[in-house]
Amino acid sequence: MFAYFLPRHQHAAKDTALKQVREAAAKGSLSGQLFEFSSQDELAKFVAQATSLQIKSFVAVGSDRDFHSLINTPANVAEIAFGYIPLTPRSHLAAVLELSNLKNALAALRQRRLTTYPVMLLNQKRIVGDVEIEFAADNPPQLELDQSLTVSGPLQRLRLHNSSLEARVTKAIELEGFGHPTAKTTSAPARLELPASRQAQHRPPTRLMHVLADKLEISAQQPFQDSIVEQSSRQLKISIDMAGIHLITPKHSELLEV
Amino acid sequence: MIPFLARLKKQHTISQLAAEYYLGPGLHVRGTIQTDNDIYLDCNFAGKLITEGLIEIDVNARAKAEVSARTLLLHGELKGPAQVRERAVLAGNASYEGDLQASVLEVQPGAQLKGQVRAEANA
Repeated sequence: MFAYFLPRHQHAAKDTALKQVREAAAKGSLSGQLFEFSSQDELAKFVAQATSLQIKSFVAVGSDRDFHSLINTPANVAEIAFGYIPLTPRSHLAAVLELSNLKNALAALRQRRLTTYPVMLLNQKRIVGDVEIEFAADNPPQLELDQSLTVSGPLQRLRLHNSSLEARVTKAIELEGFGHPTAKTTSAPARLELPASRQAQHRPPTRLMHVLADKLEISAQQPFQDSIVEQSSRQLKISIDMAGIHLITPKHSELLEV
Repeated sequence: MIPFLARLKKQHTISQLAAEYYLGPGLHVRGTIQTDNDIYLDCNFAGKLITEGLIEIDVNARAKAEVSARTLLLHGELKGPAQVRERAVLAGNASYEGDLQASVLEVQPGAQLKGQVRAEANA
């Protein structure tokens, strides 16, 4: 039996898809209970209710953010298999989990192939897939990698990738940094009649770094947010939890299959 | 070629894209990098660089570092002892100060070199 968790704000735009999800939940191999929530507190209440009903398969219906809200709610994560029905276009997570459309996502639930997927922990919040963090130009971050390397400079965007399953990469976190290098900004020929600082704002940030780490700390003077769970903080501790979570996904890996 | 790669290649050299550790202009980096793969520096660096691969230090980079590598390509400034198992190249704009040990040493015209140099087969 499945527990489907569906945020109420999805209702208006996704009627056809939601109808299919409701039909799937009502009968057959995908039958289960539908919990429609409108706040994080309500989600926590419904998760507790589903747990008390001995349901072991939780399915997030909605966006990547809704999926991450769900996987960060239960206490007994190790006992639960998580599924995902993406309803938003261009879902990064759907690409990671190889859920290309609704039909494909429902088929994955029917097959119920379980994979243990290592998760990235951002201040103990679980994340599947990549994360981006933006910084204001006057609030550049300072990075500490594996307690052995510190990096500072004009970084405005960081992209964190969980590389723990990739043989080509030797450490668990792949980090790319983007920004406007101050030294080259001032010496670049002026193409527009704008001050150099304003020209920098109009140019897309360039790739300034690529490094690997097993553990990472990011700090800044002012609070900043990540792109997934959107927690606001002045310091983020990042690592990979190899115990991970159990995912229902068609993505096949002999290494990962439970 | 996909547009994203084409755009990246316009902005970066192949060495920058391929390096496991790429630290670019404007960054200040302190500490130790130890890896089996290539390191490309275009920043201010202080610390230790240890690799089984290549270390390339770009023309605008300044490094005060203890270096151990298979190959060293120096275009910028490096101060500190360097042990290079195969080939060390000091390009035309390079400035090196320290004790350099390498199997093969190539110093191009214009490079500045201050310190002790030992070029021998088993560096």
